[in-house]
Amino acid sequence: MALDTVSILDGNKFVVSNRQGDIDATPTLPHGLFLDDTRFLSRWVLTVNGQRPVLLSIDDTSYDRVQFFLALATGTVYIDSQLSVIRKRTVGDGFHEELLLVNHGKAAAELKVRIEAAADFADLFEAKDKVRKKGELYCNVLAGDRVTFGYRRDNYWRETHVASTQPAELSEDGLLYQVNLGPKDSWKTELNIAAVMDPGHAIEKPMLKNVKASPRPELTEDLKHWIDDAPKVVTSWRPLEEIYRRSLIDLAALRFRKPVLLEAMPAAGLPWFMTIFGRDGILTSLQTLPFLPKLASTTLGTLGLLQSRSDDPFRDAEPGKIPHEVRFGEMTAFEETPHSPYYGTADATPLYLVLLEEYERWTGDRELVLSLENEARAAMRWIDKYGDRDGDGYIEYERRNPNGLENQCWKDSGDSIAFADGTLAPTPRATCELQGYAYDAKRRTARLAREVFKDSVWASELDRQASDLKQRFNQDFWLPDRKFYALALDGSKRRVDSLTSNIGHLLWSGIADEDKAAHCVTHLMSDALFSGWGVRTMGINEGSYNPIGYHVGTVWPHDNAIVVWGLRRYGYEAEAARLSYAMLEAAELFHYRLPEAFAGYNRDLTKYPVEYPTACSPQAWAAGAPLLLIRALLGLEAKDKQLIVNPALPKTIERLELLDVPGAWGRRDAFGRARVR
Amino acid sequence: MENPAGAQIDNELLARRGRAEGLGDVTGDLRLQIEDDIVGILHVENGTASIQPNGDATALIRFDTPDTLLAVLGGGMNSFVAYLQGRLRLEGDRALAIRVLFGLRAGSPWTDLAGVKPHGP
Repeated sequence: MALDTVSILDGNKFVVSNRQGDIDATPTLPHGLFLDDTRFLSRWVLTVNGQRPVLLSIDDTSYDRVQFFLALATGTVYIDSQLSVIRKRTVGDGFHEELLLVNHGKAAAELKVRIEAAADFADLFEAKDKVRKKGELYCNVLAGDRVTFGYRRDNYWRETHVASTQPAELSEDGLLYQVNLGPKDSWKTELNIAAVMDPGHAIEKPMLKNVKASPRPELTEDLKHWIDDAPKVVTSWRPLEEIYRRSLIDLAALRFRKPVLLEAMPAAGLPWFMTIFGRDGILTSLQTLPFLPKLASTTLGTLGLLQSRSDDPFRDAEPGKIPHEVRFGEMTAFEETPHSPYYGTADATPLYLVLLEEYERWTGDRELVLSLENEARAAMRWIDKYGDRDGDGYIEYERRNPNGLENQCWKDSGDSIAFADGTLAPTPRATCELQGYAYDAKRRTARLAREVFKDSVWASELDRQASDLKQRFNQDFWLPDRKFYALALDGSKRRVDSLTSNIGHLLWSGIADEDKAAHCVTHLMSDALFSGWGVRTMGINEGSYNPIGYHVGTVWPHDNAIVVWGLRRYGYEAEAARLSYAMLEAAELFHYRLPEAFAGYNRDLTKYPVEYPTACSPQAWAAGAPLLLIRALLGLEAKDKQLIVNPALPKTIERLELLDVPGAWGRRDAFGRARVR
Repeated sequence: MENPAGAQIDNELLARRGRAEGLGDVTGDLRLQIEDDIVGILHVENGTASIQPNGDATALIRFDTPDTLLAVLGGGMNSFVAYLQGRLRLEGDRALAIRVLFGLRAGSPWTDLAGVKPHGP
């Protein structure tokens, strides 16, 4: 998010404002009160006697609430402001705002306090455009009670109710207070902004009087329990403790609840991806499994439930496929977008199987895994039958909905899969990491088949398929001249020869031959890929490279955490430690919160990592990245219901303790000292 | 309980019992209602689906109109879209309801019922 905005959130309910607390949405400013992919308030602007108060400071230490300390400017530095304005805001099913004015002067003040309000009910997909709504927008003023902004299109019905504890002149433009403030006196009102879905069936909530100043104590308690339940990090390098705590809070904030879902699972990222994404949910769950295993069980259950059971070209769905994205806004409701759910991802299905096995190995929870055996078998059938579109033994993707995603891998922007000369690769595209995920899924599911599902025939077949895939992959994807794996095979089975971070995912999956892995490690740590802060998505000598290109040169923290995991898997401890520490240093400079992505400029150009302009923050898998780095630094693995610890710390982190790691063993502590040079 | 809404459509619904390809791994009973009027109990077992006039159920699917019920039951209307439009609500065992509703999109004994019109693109 841009530095000039302030966001508070609770799952997919969030408020984005400027630094004064005003909401003033435009196509370039994604301000608003959002819930279920719909903007319920697009304007909320405070003026006092026609002036917007100026910012003194912001207190945003809690993810669901913020305080803005403002003052009415006098227009000159020689005259002190006599009026403090304090706005305290908490998000829920809407938001609650306490507005406090304090007169520090010796004379009485007559004030016109106005809050301009409006609601455009834009679908999140419409928020970047000025779109004419297809239904009816309306506004009702109930004198002395509340203002209602509404939108109705057939049965689709949304309303925003605005109410105040102090009497106000209410109008379609908002609220106006005439305040007579005596010397040293103060005045306060509380405002409730309720977002109401389907008002015809909604239960009316108490709107007005006697709203408590801290309206959501249960959230504070829930967060305390969340943090208390996670393992404790104790380390000689103190920033890591702050980074870890920030990650835990962000992961709590991003948890997402809906009546159609079983339990809370992480939304992907603020502001554009505050919903369920299959890939993001799975990778976040993998990153956080040794710390917060509940996220993994919820993700497995929810995505299993939403697994496609039908062939549906509009949604890019086939039986067994794990969903890519679920949306709840108007455009989805009227099938103007296919997100109900949309299944345009080729990696979520194999990654689902990877998570299922990892979950069982860490937690020993066979009951859940057994309950998902049908889902596992359906996912594997999808890999073999639908994922491999042309029967060549590799997963490849091509959208069937012409408005669907052209790239159905994690680098899903349009220009990400290109040859070294910058030419885009024709579809269908078989990206390399998809084959690694498929290999890993088969190996891991073979273990589950053998040990949990008690199907040794299937287990043997999966192991045979995995061995065959690995052998073919190391021939078909290897670029002997450049000595790394091709980014993809294109529609004509040509090797797409750009150097990218995807080769790190191959190390994580285990599909790379040992000798070829050594070459990949050299490339990953080379100046072409390693910026000094992290591994770039694409090497600097490739035709499409752009240090501020979304998937063609930026550095992604989750990507780097996976690369580190892969380095550890193949025994490259020093490289893993070096890359981990660089990423954690970047986190420290981002105020302990890693963004979705940052620019790929060389570290020697700046003292700080450069922001990527539209990066989501917080972002679930960026928040999860430090947790996976901690796991990799300590070399944590689960095997035979035992916690394995094999630390490899950089010398800058002399000591690292992770206390009360949950798993099949109960709770255990892990401890590491710096030895890697 | 009276069944006036269901009475308009129940003859054909109740007469059908057949394969539901997407429900091979699902077993359960769901009460179908049009608003507060009970239509019947949708019974799913071993890849087949039928509607019985009475019985216990662990989930409730409440439709706004007979048209929506027929469209969703026949697999012509995406149930998630119906939910977002406020045409369908779930109570009780939501997981069972979602599995069944998603599964009916892959094939349903009620697909060719009069009044079932394909919805969506």
